[in-house]
Amino acid sequence: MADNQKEYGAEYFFNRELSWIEFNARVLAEARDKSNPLFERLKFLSITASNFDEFFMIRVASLKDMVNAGYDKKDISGMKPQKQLDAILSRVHDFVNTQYSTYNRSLLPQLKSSGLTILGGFEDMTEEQKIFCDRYFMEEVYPVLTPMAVDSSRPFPLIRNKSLNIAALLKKKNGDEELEFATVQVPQGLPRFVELPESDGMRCVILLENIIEKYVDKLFLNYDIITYSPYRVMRNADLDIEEDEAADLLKEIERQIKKRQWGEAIRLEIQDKMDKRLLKILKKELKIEDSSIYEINGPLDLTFLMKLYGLDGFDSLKEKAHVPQPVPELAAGGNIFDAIRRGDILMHHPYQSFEPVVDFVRQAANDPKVLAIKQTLYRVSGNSPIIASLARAAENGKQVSVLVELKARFDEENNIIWARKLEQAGCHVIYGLVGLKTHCKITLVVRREEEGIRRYVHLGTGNYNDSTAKLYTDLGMFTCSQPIGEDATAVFNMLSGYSEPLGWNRLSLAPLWLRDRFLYLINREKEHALEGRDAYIIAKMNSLCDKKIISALYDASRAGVNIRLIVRGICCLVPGIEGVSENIEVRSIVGTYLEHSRIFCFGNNGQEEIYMGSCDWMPRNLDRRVEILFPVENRQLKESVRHILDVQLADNVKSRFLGKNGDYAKQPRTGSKKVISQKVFCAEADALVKNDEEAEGNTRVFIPLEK
Amino acid sequence: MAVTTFAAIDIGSYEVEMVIYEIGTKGIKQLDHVRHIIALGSDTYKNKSVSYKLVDELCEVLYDFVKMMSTYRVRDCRIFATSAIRESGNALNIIDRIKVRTGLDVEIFSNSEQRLIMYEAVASRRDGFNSLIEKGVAMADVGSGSSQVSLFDHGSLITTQNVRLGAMRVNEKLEDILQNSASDLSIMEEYIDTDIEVLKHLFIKERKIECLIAVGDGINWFMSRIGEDRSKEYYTRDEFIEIYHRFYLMGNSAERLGISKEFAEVILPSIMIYKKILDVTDAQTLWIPGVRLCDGIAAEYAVKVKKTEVFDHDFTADILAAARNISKRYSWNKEHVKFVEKNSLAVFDAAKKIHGLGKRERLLLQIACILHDCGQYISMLYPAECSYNIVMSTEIIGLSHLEREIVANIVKYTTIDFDASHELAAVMDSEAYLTVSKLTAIIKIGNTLDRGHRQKFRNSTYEVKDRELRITARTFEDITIEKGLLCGGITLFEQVYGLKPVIIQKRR
Repeated sequence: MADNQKEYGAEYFFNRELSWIEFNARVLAEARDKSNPLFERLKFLSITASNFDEFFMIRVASLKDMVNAGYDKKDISGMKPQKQLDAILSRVHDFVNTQYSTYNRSLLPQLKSSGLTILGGFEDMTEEQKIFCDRYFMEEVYPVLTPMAVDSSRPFPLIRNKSLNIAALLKKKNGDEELEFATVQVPQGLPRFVELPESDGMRCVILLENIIEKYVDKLFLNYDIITYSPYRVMRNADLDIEEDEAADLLKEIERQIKKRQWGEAIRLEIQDKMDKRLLKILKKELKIEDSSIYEINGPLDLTFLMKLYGLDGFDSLKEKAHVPQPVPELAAGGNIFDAIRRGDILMHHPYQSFEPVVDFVRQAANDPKVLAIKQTLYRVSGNSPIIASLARAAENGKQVSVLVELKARFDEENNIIWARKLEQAGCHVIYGLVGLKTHCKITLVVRREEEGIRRYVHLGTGNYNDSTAKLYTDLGMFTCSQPIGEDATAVFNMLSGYSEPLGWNRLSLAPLWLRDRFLYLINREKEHALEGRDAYIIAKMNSLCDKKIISALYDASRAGVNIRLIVRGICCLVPGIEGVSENIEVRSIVGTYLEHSRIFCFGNNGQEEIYMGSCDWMPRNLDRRVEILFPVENRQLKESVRHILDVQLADNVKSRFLGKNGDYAKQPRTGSKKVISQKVFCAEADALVKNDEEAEGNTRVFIPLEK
Repeated sequence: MAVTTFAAIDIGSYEVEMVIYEIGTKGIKQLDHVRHIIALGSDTYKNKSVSYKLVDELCEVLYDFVKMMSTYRVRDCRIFATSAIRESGNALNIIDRIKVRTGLDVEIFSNSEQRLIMYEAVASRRDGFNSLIEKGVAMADVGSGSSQVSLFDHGSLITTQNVRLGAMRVNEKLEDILQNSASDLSIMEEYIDTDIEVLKHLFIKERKIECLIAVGDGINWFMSRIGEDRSKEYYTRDEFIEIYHRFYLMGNSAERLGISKEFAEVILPSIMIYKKILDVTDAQTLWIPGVRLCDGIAAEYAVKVKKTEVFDHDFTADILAAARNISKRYSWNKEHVKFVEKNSLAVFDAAKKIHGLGKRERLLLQIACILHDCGQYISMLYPAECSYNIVMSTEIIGLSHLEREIVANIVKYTTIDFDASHELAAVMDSEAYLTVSKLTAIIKIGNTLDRGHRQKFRNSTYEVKDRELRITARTFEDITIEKGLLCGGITLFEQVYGLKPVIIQKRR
């Protein structure tokens, strides 16, 4: 076999956009799965809707840009941008149809039989409900509406990205025959739906646009309303910041956010049966072609279902919420640094609480021995307790450096506000690096102790965001290992603009060395296999689409390495091709929590090595982001992480396997016990705490007071 | 607290770096290390002074370093600059700018101070160093402005030589000739070869060198990036040459190496110089201890301030060995030199209470004795001036510039009248001037006692008593000349110490 990596042709790769749509199809399949509780299914459907919004704004938009610019380089699956776009749009139209048939035919009737009706209009309302709506409209809605008519003196207004609007055709009362176009935005500040008084024990909600439609004549008093219909526009929002030119990144991003609303329209959603004349005007004014218009049989923008999930009551129709459990090694109220000195600590969120991470920064902020706190922040929630702690640490005279990544999608507005807050408190805030996104999640606390300086490090696979930590499965590790501490210091020195260190002890960093490191680890398995030794790779990640890594995996598979991949989202690797990827198995787990941890396990001829990190096997992670891969070295921790992989591999309910033609299918379960990995982890986290309490109970002794 | 944090800042030719150490009684631990690339050297070597734009940038980086120091609660720090600032026309202004803007006091190291510190850094790696230098070893310290090659044998430094071949200097010199073509490398090689040949013929000669110790930032970086195993320190000759060729074929491409242009420009010539030195020494192994100047500064601090055991090595022996080696080249009468050394030191020791000088001055005296007549090799008419010039232009690692000047002056005035030297008081500060006069007074006695070069005062003892320096000579030979020269008129010794030398002959 040739030593050099083989070049694999386009037929050995799936297109990443189509693979991404496949992922959404798996989420949609969960929405259609009758074994899931009804309200969970609403949530899954809502996720598909918000996923597609983002998909259009970023991916479809950039493909359109490529087409417009005449760029026609093929992707790894050999498709030119126009071809990809065509394939995506046709697939999406089908997808939308499935979304709404699920909503209309399956979810709505079941909601109704469970005691909740989503009213489509005023026809089926009781008098009491109608009176409620009258008052709600006049008191709450009417004051915030801004109807806008279009005529020769008033140009077509800006329709904001992602906003829901109602278009209407008007005719002047007692006037000429000419029709006028008007539009009104459904206010984003008000809840999307309103719960009405019950009727005969049936709870009812109505969507805000349906209420506005009912009173639309109140908005245009001197006109007759000919027709009206809701619509929604999606615009190109692929932020493309010219970093080399932008002297001040922060200002540039502020400018871009405002500009985003002006982007080109790339999708128009309308309710089906919209009046032809109305549609014609919209088409003309928004300059949008037919293939980008989606006629929808049902309410536009299904993301409101996430809010509907939050309605109280209906607990029996929701998955029983698992309360994140405390981490046994970190007793509440104990000194976290003492605990870390006793040994490395692993945390599995959201089965285990994210609180220790927050507490780590909080304790550091108040600990007199702490000299410095350094942290990377990316997608942090607005009123994050971490931010508050960092600010307090700075006020307490500690040196606080925070790398704030402003380029996290859609969160820019949010990020800028708290970044300013930190600066005011005296933190040293670094606003990202030119040309690179900082995606790594690392916190370093430098503490001066009796024996000298000691460094405490938290490394994670997920963001320092206490609210997503409740929904995303992530792993985190605390350590005060000296080599990792030294590396962590070096990471922050680099992020502050100093030269790279001459060497790293344990960590591997993208974009400098990470891909090579992965290729080395994969090839090492290949070598073992070629020499007849047992060789395997188990890797869990969100996406896999890096050509070099996939090629290395094919080579390894050909050499006989057993490769099992747990890839939640996009996967461009084609498994099961004879002579190429027979030894590769790809599965995807879609569950209540979003699978988010990245774990890489290599057999290494019996000396198994396990790594975790912030990166996927994607070119963007390996080339354009700062990512950290860290080894799990503590034996106990290694066993725990390996166990997590084993449970996921044993999941026979939520796992779907990728076939060589690109579809995902569950494997028939043969008699064996049902294993739902996320449920297993919940139970295990509970048991850990219980065991710990019991153990503590046994040793508890009453201490008599002495005189 | 048992530990102290200490920071060392090295203002080099293409980068400024700070290393923060934790120094305890057990040893030295590195806490943090930051580097910022700034090509001060290319300004200096090209325009003879550093531009204000760069000085500004330098101040900003240093100011940042000051903040980092406070994070670690650094107790003490030393900031030093090497050739880029040393050779810059505006060195004093730069130092002043830095002081005003950052509060930091920058020391400018002479070449020999700088090399000694690097040497100390290597010696602090006791595990490798001590056993290695028992055999014939060469140490190459390639800097940006020049390189230092030192030879060791039997546990001490024999000789050391500074070559004007620095990574950055080579680049600046050849800048107009090089045109990014394939022949560039051979032009560079040819340029380097010339100096290396001289080094080989005058200096390394036929010495048996078994190992080459390679130090300097270039090689540290090179091995960590191009070599496979970062922690590896020992390479065989073939391994190194293999890696060198791999690198050579890559060309001088910053992009491929993922480094800045400034850095890429110095890395190739720097590695080439090591390779050329390896070629002329015939060493079979290469040791790359990966130490830097800051490490040497920290080691010095640990020894001086914390009394930490850092070295096993005796640096005084090195200095003496180097001096003897120079003397071997120039002195024709070994016996005489030995005799002057022995007697001068005996006088020094006898007059300890009178002169109040310490161990270091004794060493200077000893070096002066060893080198006192080297000028005769050049000219018998003006031996004093020639001796002075030889000493001043010879590198003695471990001596500061001032110390070298003291030694040179002692050597000069050994044979001519000190009275004629009011000029000296004008160019030296009073402390140095006093040291020169005190030691010259002693060496003059030592030298006079062997005026006839016949070692008559082989068995003599010295004693200070009743305002006299009593020299008791046990000899049967005629010592009239010596007696006449020493006790006839007023000697410098008498002027300086107020003691009259008296010779008592005991014929036994």
